[in-house]
Amino acid sequence: MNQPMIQARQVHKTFQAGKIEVHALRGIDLTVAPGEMVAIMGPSGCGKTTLLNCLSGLDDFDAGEVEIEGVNLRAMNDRARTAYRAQRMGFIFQTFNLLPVITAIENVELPLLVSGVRPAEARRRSTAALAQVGLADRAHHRPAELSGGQRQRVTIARALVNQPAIVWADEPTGNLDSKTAGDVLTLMQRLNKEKGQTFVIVTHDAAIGALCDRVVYMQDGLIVADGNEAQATPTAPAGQEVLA
Amino acid sequence: MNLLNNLSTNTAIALTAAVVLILLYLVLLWLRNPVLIKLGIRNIPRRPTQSVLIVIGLALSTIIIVSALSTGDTLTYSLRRQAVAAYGEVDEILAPPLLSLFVSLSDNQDFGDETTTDPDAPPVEVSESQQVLENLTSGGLTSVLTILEGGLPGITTARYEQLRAEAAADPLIDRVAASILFPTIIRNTTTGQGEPLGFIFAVDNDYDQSFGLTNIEGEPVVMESLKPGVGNIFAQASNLFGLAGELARQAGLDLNISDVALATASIGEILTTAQTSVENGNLDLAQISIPLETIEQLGVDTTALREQGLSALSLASLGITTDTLQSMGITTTTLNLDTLTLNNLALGATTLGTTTPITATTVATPSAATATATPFVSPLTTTLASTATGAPTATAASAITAALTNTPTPVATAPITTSPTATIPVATPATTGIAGALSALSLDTLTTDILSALNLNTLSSEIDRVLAQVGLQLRQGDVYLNRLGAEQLDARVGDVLDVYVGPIPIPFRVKAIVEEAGPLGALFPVVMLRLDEAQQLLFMNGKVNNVLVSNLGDDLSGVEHTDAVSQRLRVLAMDETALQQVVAILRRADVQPRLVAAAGDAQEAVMEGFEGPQIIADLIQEFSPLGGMMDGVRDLANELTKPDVSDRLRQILADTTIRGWLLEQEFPADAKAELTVAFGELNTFDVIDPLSKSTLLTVGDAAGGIFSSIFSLFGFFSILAGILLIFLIFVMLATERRSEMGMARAIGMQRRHLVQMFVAEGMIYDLVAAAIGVLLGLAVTYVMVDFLGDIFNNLASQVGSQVGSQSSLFRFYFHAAPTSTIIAYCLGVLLTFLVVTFSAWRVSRLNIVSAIRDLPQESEESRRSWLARIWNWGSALVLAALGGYLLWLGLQMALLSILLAGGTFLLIGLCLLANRVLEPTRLRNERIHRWTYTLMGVGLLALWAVPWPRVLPQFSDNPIFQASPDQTLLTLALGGPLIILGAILTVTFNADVLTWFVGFVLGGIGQLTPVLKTAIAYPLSARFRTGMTMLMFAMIISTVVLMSVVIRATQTIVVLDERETAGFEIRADSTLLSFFAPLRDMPAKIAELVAAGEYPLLQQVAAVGIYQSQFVDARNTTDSRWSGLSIAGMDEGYLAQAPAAYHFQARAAGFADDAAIWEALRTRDDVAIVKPNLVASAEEENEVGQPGGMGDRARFGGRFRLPASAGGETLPDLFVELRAETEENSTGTSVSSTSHRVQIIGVLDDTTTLADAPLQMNLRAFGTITGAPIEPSQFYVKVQPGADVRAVAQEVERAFLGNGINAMILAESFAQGQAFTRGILQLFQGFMALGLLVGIAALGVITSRTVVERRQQVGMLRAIGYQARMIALSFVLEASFIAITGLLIGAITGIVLGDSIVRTFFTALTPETNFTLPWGQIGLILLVAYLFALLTAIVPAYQAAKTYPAEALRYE
Repeated sequence: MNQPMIQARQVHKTFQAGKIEVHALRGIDLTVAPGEMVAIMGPSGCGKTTLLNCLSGLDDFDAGEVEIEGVNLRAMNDRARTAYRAQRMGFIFQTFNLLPVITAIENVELPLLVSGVRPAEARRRSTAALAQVGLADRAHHRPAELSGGQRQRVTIARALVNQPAIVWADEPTGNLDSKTAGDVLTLMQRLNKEKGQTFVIVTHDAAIGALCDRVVYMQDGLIVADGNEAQATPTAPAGQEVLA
Repeated sequence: MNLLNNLSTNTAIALTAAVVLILLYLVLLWLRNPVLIKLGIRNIPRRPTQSVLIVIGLALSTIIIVSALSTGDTLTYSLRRQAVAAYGEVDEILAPPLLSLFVSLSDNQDFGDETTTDPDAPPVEVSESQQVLENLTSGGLTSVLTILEGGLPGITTARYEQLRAEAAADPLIDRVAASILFPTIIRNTTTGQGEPLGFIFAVDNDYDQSFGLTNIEGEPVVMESLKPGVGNIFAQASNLFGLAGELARQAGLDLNISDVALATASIGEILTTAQTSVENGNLDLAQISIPLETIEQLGVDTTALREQGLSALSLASLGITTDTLQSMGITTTTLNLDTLTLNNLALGATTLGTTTPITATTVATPSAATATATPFVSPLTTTLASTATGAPTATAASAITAALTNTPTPVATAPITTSPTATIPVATPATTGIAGALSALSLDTLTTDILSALNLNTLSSEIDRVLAQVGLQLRQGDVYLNRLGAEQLDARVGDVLDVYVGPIPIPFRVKAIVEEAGPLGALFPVVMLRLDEAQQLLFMNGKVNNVLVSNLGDDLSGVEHTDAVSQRLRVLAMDETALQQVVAILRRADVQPRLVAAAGDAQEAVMEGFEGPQIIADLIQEFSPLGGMMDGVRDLANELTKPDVSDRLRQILADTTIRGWLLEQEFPADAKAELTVAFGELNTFDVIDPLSKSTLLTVGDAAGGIFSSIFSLFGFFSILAGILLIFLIFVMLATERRSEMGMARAIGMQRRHLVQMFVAEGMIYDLVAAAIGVLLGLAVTYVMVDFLGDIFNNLASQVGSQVGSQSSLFRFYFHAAPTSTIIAYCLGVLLTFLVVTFSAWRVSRLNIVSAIRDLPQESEESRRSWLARIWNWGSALVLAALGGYLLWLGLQMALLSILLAGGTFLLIGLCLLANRVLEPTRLRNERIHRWTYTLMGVGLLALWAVPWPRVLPQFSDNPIFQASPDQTLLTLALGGPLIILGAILTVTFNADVLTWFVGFVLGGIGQLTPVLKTAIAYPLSARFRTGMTMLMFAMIISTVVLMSVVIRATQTIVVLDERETAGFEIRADSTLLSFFAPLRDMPAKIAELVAAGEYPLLQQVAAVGIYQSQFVDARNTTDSRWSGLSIAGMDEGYLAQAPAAYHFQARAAGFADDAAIWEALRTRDDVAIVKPNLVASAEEENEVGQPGGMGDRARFGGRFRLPASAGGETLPDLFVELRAETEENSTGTSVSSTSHRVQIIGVLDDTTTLADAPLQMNLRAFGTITGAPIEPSQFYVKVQPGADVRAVAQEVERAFLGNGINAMILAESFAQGQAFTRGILQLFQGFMALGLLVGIAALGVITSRTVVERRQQVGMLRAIGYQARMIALSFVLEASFIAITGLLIGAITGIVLGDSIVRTFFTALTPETNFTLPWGQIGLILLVAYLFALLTAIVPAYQAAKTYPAEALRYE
């Protein structure tokens, strides 16, 4: 495990918001080791999500280098990156982002089917993944028929079903009450430990930070602090959010 | 100008007002609350592509409306233009009263009865013109003599001049011109093509000067430059006739008019035939010399010849020597004049449809007669000249006397005059006298023989022919031919036409083809003659039969004054003496008081039934034709009290309705009789309203209106689809903005504000879209007009099938009336406005919270309301109950369509009820709906798409399955939409099975599996939207496919069913001109012509058949009541053909087979056969038989029926009594006329036969019953196997052209009908296919909407590994799923319905006919529709695919 899972150097990203140019990332350097569970924290608009998008290859960046498992993202075209995502990455979003028109298990199956896994095999593995997140009995419900926590657990099952090397999570507990958020976090932590998968979690929930191996603080497009949980000092707004 | 125009103008104004109101409302909103409007409008530039799509979608309805309207406009305009082109400046036409009597005669067959039906009425003196008319219409000799004696009815020149002066004083009348219009047969001798109905239109210089006349190059031409033809000879013939009569009277002979005619005929005949004996039949051209006087007499300008110093025309005088001719290869003596002339005569006679007894006799050249005739022979024209000078010589007188008294007294007098033609030696004296000739004449042929004898045209036609060889045309006058005539006759300038006056062909040369050839020029071939020439030819000296009137203003604006001018002309038309007489009668002491009383009563009678406000009563008066009359009646009483005859009184008496009213009043009998006579004399001419230009223009407008309506009707589905599309678009726009709108509501916006926002946005789209729609719609029409023109002109060229000329009967000029454009634009705007407002109102009722959080809208709110609950349960219950009732009703009435409708209502009601019952249970709603709606869908399909009568043949006897065409149509009209609805319900609630199936089948195709899954899952989750789009596709495609199937059917059935023709191939019809020389016995004439070696192709006629039919009284011998029944009589020819075409389902005892029946029909007059529909059904009979049933009086609704016992295989002894129809048949007791009894010996197995009546017998028996002479107007001809049907048809027409016979090929006219139907259907199909654009646009809009809606989901999918192309594919597949399902449902529906229509209406498509569905075409339609739909989906799909996943995720 000499090779870092993620290696970002001087990543810059600007984008147009109306007539104003926003310099979202101003030279990010970040290295994540395999199996690490990293939380990226910071105030709203500091560039957390943009960083996650750039690192995961969902978005282009203007300057700098990003290597995932030693492969330079820039060297890959869209197809290659997409294929890479399908096989090696999982995503958890704040707004769940399940397809509303298909059932829970069909949602979980999607990444497998996209990677070319045979439907029967996909169905077997999805059932297992749903069981892992404790939703075996809800497999044939549509997202609309599930609670918020259940939906997020489906998302997690989907993110993990193809046993990715990296799981990206963008505010995974943002839309959940604290009890459910706690359940979800415990689940993620357990999976991280069991499977040794790398987790990069964007959040401003201090509770999540507390559970992660390492917390990276961002402000105005720059990493301002990087360290393990011990070093991290919970900020006031984050604390409030936990209480909410 | 007229009602239709006013209507469309008013509609346009009303619609514009509505649009303006809406705009004003928006402006007001803008002023009051600009932010709101801004909020609405700001959405437009936000997504330009989408806005463009929306605009296109909205434009579609307008396109369809505008093209429907402008197609009608084009037709209207083209008709108007054609009418105006033909009429030129002419606005009204005046004719002598007789012609209007003709019109009433054709309208009312009982003309003759009017004076005789009422035995109590005093004997009414028939007016002079009525007498003339009756003579004219009696046919045969009397009519001819009537014409010869008095000339044709007309307006005298003096009367015309008077009118002209009066018209000049009228400010509204521009000009008048006199003319003669007369029907004629025209044949182009140059090309051989003939038209059995054309018109002579003769005018003088007044016409070209006042109305203008141009040739087709647009250069002006004048009537004066036309050379006169043989008219002067006709005038002499007329004189000759008069002379003969006069001489006979002088000689003290008591002769009736036909004897005089006969004598004249004989003389004319001798004049004609003696020419044949010139120098033993051999004529040396070089011997011919014609004095210039003679030529001048013929109306030829000889100035040039005189200037050359010539006094006579001969080869020598022209400096042409025999040698010269020989050097040119012409031998002057090789012409065998004898045979030429004989042929010519025979030809003339054949043309007349008679044998040539005179010719036959006189060929033997009577010796005694020759002497008598000699004076008349050679110097014909000189003789005529002398008679014309009114100095009959003694020689002539004695000759005629001799002829008349049958005394062959040789009068050896010298020729009266000497002339160069006398140098032609007269041939050997003949041996038989005129007596022979006369005795050879039978009265049957008298009419035509007299006229042929007067056919001076054949006289010396050889001289013409000879002279023509040296470039001189002496005897041919000139005519102008109209454009249509030129096309139909294939005539060019210089061609020689035979223009028939009665049965006499007269040659005229075409001097120019002209544009304005009078009122009939647009419809018929018209030859324009000099007025003086026509007056002579038609024996109408000093008379015209038409006066053309031009109103103030140009050719179009003059029409406005038509009503006023017509009224004025009616006043001018009255004869002063007769008018004074009428007024005197009305002022009589025993008349006037009654009149005043009656006028008062009439006023009250009209208003009696009306109790509304006065203003409405006035309006009714104003607009109903009765209103004007009432005014007249009221004023009449007053005006009569004034001295003299006031202008108002003239006006009132000019009104024919008032005259009618006066004759209905209870005046003393003698006053009434006098009044009748006076009215008969009152009009010196009539205004022929039907021939007014304004009438024609109104017809054009109406036709255009009808066309517009038909197109709108056919475009209805498309317009409906367009409205659905608008609705869909705005529902989606609203969905897109739900959270925005929820937010707006949260911060205090009212619901109406939301509506206003939407409406503001919608109106902007709307105004632009309607404008674009109008432009595109006009473009569509422009293309269609081209196509229409092709169809019509194709038909036109085939209508003249026998000549096969390429004519353009009708030309289309693209035209869109401003009103139509405005109407279409406003309709488009309003339609959209309404739909937008409705959908905005609907979405404004959102739940604020769920809208903000973008959660599915809960319908709890509505469910809680009591009203809603009552509605939900109530509607279901009502539907079910209604369904039950209709089922019961359908069973009672045994009507399949009612049964099906009942089943449908019951099904829908029960399914909805099931929903209501199950919804509160623990079952998931989704599952409940799936079950109930699937049941509904499948049920609808089972009810409507299954052809039950064919599925359950064992019940085919059940009356419910006895489909009649109208029932089938109803079933189809209801069935189409319901099948589509059923299919869409079934598919949208069950397509996840499809997903499963796809997953199962295509499981191994890797990455496609998830794509397919989502592509089907998405549309199914938005059922409303998906269903609507599928509906649009299905609706439109079903109509287009249905058309395809029907069109294919019209293509398949190109051969006419033998049952329709009885095996005959040609139908020969009499026409208007047949009146002069009616053809009674075609087979005999054909035999004669064949025997004479004439018309060789007639040898190929295998059979000629006729049938006659008439309405008579009939009853079964067991009945006491008579009922009306149509019977047919078939002649030998028909009966010979029938056995091969028709068979019997039942035969009477003693008739072993069909042949026995046919044999009996041929030989026996006491037998008849019937069609199966004449046999009463058991139900009918039961009903009649029931105690308290319909009873004897109303048996079978007054129709004649055979007892139901005739329905078996063996007929019982059935006898039917038949008698000519009598007035008393309703009372049923008195049998005045004798009846004829026939036995029914056979029941045909099919109702389709050539003879149209349900009871058929042979012609002899038919004649016995009807008591009327057999005068067939149609002949059916069968040609020999292998013969060229077309050539024979042409030969028949040629042979009987003189009889005005028009031949047509049955199969061809049928095929043409089919082709025309097909062309129109194709046009409609294309028009409906326009609606496909709606479906395609809908799909485009939906796809682009879904792309926007699902950006986030797309981002997620991209994140979890969907490749860009998979995203694109997913969208394309989704659109494809909707499109293909819609298309397939539509196609299947179309095929089912089309097949059903074809089976019902194209019964000739029996199983053995190879009718296959147009699979290729249907496939092509589907493919093209799908490809276009795909195109609109690809663009948004591509946009979705190229989005960066992060960008998509960011979007919320």
